[in-house]
Amino acid sequence: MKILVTVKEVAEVDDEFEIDGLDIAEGSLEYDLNEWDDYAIEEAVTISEARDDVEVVTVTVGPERAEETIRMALAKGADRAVRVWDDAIEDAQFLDVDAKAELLGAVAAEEEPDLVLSGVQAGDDSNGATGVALAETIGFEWAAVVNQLDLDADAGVASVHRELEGGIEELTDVDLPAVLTIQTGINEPRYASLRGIRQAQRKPLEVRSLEDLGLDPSVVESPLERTSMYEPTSESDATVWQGSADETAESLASLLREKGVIEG
Amino acid sequence: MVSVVPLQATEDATRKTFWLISNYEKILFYFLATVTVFVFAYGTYNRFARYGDGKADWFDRLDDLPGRVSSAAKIVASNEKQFNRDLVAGLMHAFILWGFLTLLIATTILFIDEWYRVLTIAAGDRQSFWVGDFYLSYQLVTDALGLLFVIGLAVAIWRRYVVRAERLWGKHTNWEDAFLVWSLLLLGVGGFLLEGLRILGTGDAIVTVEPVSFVGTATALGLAGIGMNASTAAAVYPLAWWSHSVLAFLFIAAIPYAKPFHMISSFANVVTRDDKAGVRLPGVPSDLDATNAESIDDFTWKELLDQDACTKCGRCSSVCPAKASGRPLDPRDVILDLKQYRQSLEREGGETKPIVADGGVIDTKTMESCMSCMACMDACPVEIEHLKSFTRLNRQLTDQGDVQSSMQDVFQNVMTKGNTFGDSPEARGDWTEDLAFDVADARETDVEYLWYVGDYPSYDDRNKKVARSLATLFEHADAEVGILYDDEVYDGNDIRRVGEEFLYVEQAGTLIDSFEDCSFEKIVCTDPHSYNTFKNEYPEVDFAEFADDPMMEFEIDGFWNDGDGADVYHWTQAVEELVEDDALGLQGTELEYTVTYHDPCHLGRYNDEYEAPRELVRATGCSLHEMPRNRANSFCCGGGGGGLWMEVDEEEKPSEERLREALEDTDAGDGIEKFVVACPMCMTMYEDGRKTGGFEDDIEIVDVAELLVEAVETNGATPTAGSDPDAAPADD
Repeated sequence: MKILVTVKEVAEVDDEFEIDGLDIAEGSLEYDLNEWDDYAIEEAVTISEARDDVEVVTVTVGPERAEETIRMALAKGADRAVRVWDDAIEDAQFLDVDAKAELLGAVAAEEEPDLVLSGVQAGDDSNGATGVALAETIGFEWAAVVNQLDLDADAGVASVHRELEGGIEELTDVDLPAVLTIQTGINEPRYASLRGIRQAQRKPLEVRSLEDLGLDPSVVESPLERTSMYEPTSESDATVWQGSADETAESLASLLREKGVIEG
Repeated sequence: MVSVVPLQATEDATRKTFWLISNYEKILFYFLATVTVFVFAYGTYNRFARYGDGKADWFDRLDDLPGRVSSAAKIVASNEKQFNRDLVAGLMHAFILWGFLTLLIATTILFIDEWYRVLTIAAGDRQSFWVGDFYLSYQLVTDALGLLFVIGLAVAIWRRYVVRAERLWGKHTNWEDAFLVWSLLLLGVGGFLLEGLRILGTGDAIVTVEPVSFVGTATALGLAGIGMNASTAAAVYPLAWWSHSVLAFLFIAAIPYAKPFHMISSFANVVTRDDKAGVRLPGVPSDLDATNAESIDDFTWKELLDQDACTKCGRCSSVCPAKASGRPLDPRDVILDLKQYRQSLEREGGETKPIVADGGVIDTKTMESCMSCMACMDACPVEIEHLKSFTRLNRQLTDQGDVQSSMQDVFQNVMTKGNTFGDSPEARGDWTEDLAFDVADARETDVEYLWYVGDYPSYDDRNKKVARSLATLFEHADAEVGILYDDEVYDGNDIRRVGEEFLYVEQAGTLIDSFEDCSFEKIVCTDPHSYNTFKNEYPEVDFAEFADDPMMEFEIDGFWNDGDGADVYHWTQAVEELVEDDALGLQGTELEYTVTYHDPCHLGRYNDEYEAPRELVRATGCSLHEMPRNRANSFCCGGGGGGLWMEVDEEEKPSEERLREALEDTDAGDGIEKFVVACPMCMTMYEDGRKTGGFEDDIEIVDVAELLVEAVETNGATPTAGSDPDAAPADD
């Protein structure tokens, strides 16, 4: 059985940052493994530890710098990694969801996984769409926002709990092969120690270009375009009531009524 | 029938050995003795052969063996460790130890004399030195020490079975604990009974037979008192003699197989101790494939010896703050669980388990509970180095990735930002901005003191006040002090104790690079944790081992500061020197608070600095009252060993218990106004315990530096106006 985990290196912005053209200045950014992907990796590694015949492969779209992050995934127990990158991707001004799905889909077509795990969303651009778009691209079944997974690999069925809005949970079965987008809290991701990351440098990490994947450079073109980057002015309008609990509760109640939050 | 010579204080005074024992019995006796010695030697050899199979230890433990043996002999002979915190147990053990050694020596003398006689008879001229005054002194000494021996054992049995002293009982208490005390008691009592029977059995007036053997004489009188006559005594004597002998043989044969082995293993453990154990942790090989505690085979011979040296006395567990707080850690049980697991593999061929994991030999939560305070090691009478084994287990947890998410965040922060807070490295020196003077940049100017401020005083609001107070003191004293600003990174002491060794090395190398770029004479630390690792651990890291590592991006190669480098001080030590030179102009009457002082583990127990902070507190005029657990017996705040970041289940926080102690148990009654600390971690833990424990109206937490600044300002001498540490700005 093979599990493909999509992994992204996300940018984190310092408290104090500068804007440089259409982007945040490189000096204001720190990079880290996407939080949701951390849970997806843990889920895949847990499955592989429970069975003998499971290979966990990670796939990333990202520059060489991203290898630091990929090694964290390898240190946590993934068996090998694929990184997709070339000049056309580097030059693309904005990599949209479809483009990412195409790139990841090409790798999935090569790897032929039984299960693809992806994070629900990335911490930086927060699209929350890549996993499902990938399922569409490669024609897999899918389930989004999975917070519990029971895999019956022999029967080829994944029984999942999906976290829906309003505290509703959906219990459903998905036939493999499938893409599941993994929600935080599904497990407790393990730590990748510095020694573990060093050891992971011995694991295979393959770099694939568009050409290697048989894709045309036009795949990264997007109808979307970034036109400007600015810091929105933030406003806060906090009302603080002084007085006893009874008085302040009354003031709060009348405000909530006035704003239409509650009725009666 | 053997004739008995009356024994008086004459040249002829002696007694016949093997009285009433036939030659056939004598042969049987020597046969049994030989078997016993063989069983003892075989068992002892196997024990030591097992240690030989253990991994090599990181530290040299067999250097200067004569010196080690003699200092161990002094520690053991004086029983100094047993007297610690428990006078009765100390007396008990001293009586038993010295009684046992005396009887052992006495028996050995008799053995030598016996064979001396045999050989001289063979040579045609029977000789014996066990006669006359020597014989009488021998009898007096063995009776006297034998009596203490029996008294000691009676006390031990009374404490174990009548008082049922809590620390003596635990999950590993079993037959061998009973065997040790009861067999020794029976041997001691049996010896006197035998002596009494012999004296009574002579048929002479009891008090004239051998008055120098006063216990034996008293026993004989007692036997006569309950109606025994000389012939009955002589008749039961051989039976009593054989019972005594067989029990002695059983005891000796059992030594290597049960608790009596502590007589050998504990002594060996004291001989091979590391005087800086726990204070300095072992490193790890730079070999990426080295394992920490994947199996019992990863343990070093000293760690195995530690397990065998344990006498289950429970002193470690009785002082453990984690156990006292209801956390799932019992230091004795960790050592003994490891021993039991090892023996189950070796003796019973049991199944292998993960050493440390949920459901492993040791539970993950057990290790998360440890605060690395070293109270267990301080209390251990046989020099077991708990913290060394615990660190091995913690490193294994890190290797396995079994690290709590809050702790993972800390590691990640250190990895990416060089501080435990995850705050911007550029903000490290921001705490200085509210001072009315500048703190020198050690990267630009030569200084006498390079001040390592530390993470908490740099980033934590409460501790920034301490940093500003200390800066004010240095300024007031005109000390040449500079700090590293953005180039200071986390010292790594505590992440090392939590088990992230590679990250520790990486931080240490990075920080040393910063040190190397500056010119200074001394390093002074706000935090005792930094002080400990700079002083005891940094100079022992061989950075050359990691020179080829692509993730270790430091320049230092080889060792740093080993030998003639900069001296490292905790700030209280440096400022005490300034106070002695009257650089602060204190009269010693400035403040009138009633205070108590809490010894930080890393300053006190770790590094034996108890007086400098106390001198400083007294220099302000405060009246200082000690808590019962002070100095080496201090009770950890709960912040060490990652406790500051770890989430644990506990009944009561160690800090709350400690504040209760301050408010109830000093000789100031409930009069303590301020709880004085000298460590940023303690400050953080006690400010928290003060709130959660409901002590906010009762006591204030202050750092020694804050008291000193208040004293200096009370004096009216405030050249640094505007530096009031309490006038924290709104954004602070």
